[in-house]
Amino acid sequence: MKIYNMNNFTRWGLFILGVNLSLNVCAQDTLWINTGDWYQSQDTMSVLRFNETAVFDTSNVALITPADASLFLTVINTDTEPHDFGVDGLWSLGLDILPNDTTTFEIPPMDMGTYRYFSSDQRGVYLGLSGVLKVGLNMPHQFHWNLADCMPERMDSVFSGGELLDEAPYVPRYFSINSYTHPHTASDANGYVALALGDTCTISIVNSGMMDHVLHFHGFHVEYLSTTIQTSRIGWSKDTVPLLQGEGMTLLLIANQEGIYPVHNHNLIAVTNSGFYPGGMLTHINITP
Amino acid sequence: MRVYISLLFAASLFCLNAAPSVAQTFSPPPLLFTGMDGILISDGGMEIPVWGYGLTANGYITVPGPLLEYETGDDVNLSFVNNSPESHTIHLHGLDVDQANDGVPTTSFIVIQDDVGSYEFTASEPGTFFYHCHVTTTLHLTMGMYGMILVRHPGGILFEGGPAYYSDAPLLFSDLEIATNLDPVQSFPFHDIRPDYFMVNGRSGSQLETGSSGTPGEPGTILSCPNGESLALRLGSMAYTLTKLIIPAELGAMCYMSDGRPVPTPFGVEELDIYPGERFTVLISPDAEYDGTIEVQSWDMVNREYVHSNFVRIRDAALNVGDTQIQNPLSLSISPNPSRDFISVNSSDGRDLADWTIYNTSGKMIAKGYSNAPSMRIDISLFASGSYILESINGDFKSRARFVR
Repeated sequence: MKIYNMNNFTRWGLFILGVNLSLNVCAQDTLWINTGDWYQSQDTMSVLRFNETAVFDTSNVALITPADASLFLTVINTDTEPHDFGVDGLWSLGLDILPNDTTTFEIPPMDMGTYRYFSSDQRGVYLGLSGVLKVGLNMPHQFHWNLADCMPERMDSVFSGGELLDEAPYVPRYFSINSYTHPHTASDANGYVALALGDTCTISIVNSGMMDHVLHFHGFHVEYLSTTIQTSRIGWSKDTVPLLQGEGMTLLLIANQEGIYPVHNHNLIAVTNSGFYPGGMLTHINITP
Repeated sequence: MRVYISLLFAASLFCLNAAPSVAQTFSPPPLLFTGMDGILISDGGMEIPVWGYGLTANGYITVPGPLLEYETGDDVNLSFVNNSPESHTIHLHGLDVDQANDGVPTTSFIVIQDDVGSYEFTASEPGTFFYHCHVTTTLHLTMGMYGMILVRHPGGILFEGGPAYYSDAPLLFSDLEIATNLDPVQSFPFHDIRPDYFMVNGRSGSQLETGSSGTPGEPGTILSCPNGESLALRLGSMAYTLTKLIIPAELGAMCYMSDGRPVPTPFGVEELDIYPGERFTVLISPDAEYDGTIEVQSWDMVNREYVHSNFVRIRDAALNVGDTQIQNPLSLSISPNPSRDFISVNSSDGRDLADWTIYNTSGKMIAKGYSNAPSMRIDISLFASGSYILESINGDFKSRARFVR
């Protein structure tokens, strides 16, 4: 692993989207750790996100890199606290990126699949520093779902630097896909699966939440192409797909019938917004003729 | 008027008894109805209000709803009349039906009070599926509006090219939060529903062992399978909790299907996690004289904490009362029962007990000996707490009795 510390940001700007690169080609990208507000129903939560620019965006950006090539990543930390960085179960930076500092490092080549990249420190975990890393996926139609659950009271406590009462029951009130909750999931171009009849797509999913989630597909079975935890399920065809905490997964969807079909968490407390149904972790597949 | 559920009838409808089932291909399918005035009698006798589906011909709802059985390739028209004041639907979970028949209010249609809803689909794939209401789903499911659909492949095999099996044993795992069921109007907010009552086919605790009548050993509450045959466990969860099955190795459990599709490589299973909405088909082949239980654990999904266990009893059909393989049964009495220290065993006809063996509920031999008297006293003080079976064999005379430490 190589690490470069830079006080001045240099953006290399090569953002690879669905391009099949040959071996030994390095992908490069830049992430900003930004703070901002996330509005949900009657709650406003201070959150952290990995963004493409210094401008705060409510969704963590998806990283895309070819398989069998190193990923050179520059991370700029605009938060007031240090953060570590890693790829869940695969690789860890091993040091903190200090506030207002910039660090560039190399992540070794990874196998094809979907992984969670994240900061594992308490502030990063509770405030949402966790995103989708897609490796070697070249299908023309690709979508990604970054699943999360949160309890505003805990987030407020962590953001303000207060004590986190772990013994208090965790009672999440919001359940999101790419930081969108239903009905706003319909406006998320990365998550709302819009295809034409006969198309095939991959859906990259990571579970960035504090609990396991389970997604049910109406109208379709999907095939497991990769998963970081439940590896014995690769090749299975299912309509109800559990995602364990921290798991990354790639699913193949064949759009073999027209119509609009929900995909939602079948732990039904998670299709609510602060208790109101319907909401939360619910999006749609829309197949047009 | 409240419709009181007969758990006895519900059990027979839901095939807890795994004797070879009579082929029941409903074509046209049964007309269901929905009701919101049912009562579930809990283990312990509490009356819990439930909503659900029932067969119109029967006139009462059950939790879960009636098992719907089809054969691969059947063209199905499933309809229900809504006899309740609130709107309902049927979502055909896992059957990949088209949008019009999907049962989701916003993309399909809703069935208002006194109206009839019909759903058409082809049961194109064999396997285990669900039907459930998709109106305010978080509430309507905890109230009980779900049931299992079983699509059998012809020829007594699980799927084309799949293994043969003896019979089906549908096991639907579900749960509810009693406070919500007692007062669904005041049940908001829905994000903190935390179940505190856990069921297998609508039964819990001692109901799974004794039946609703409380009669120990009541037929129909124990899954039986002849030695050398395979029983197809049709497993599915409509719970809000994670269901974790602990399957004794003596059952030789093999998982062949999930969510209505064969798994590419069947695998042996002694522990199986079933998340809400998932289904699995697992074949078990109990060893000769097996008499044990599958533990059904429920785990809180939010904090991943263990909360409850139910037990489903499985036994070699040869152990069933009246089975021809039990020759000249004689009666055994065991007292005191339960006991912590000693049990006294007596044969009622005065024959010597001769060779005796004690098994635990997993079928494992715990102790054995020989007695040349019709009665004896056995020290059980070092046994683990639980149920045991004592077997006595004297020549052609063979009998068994159960005791609890």
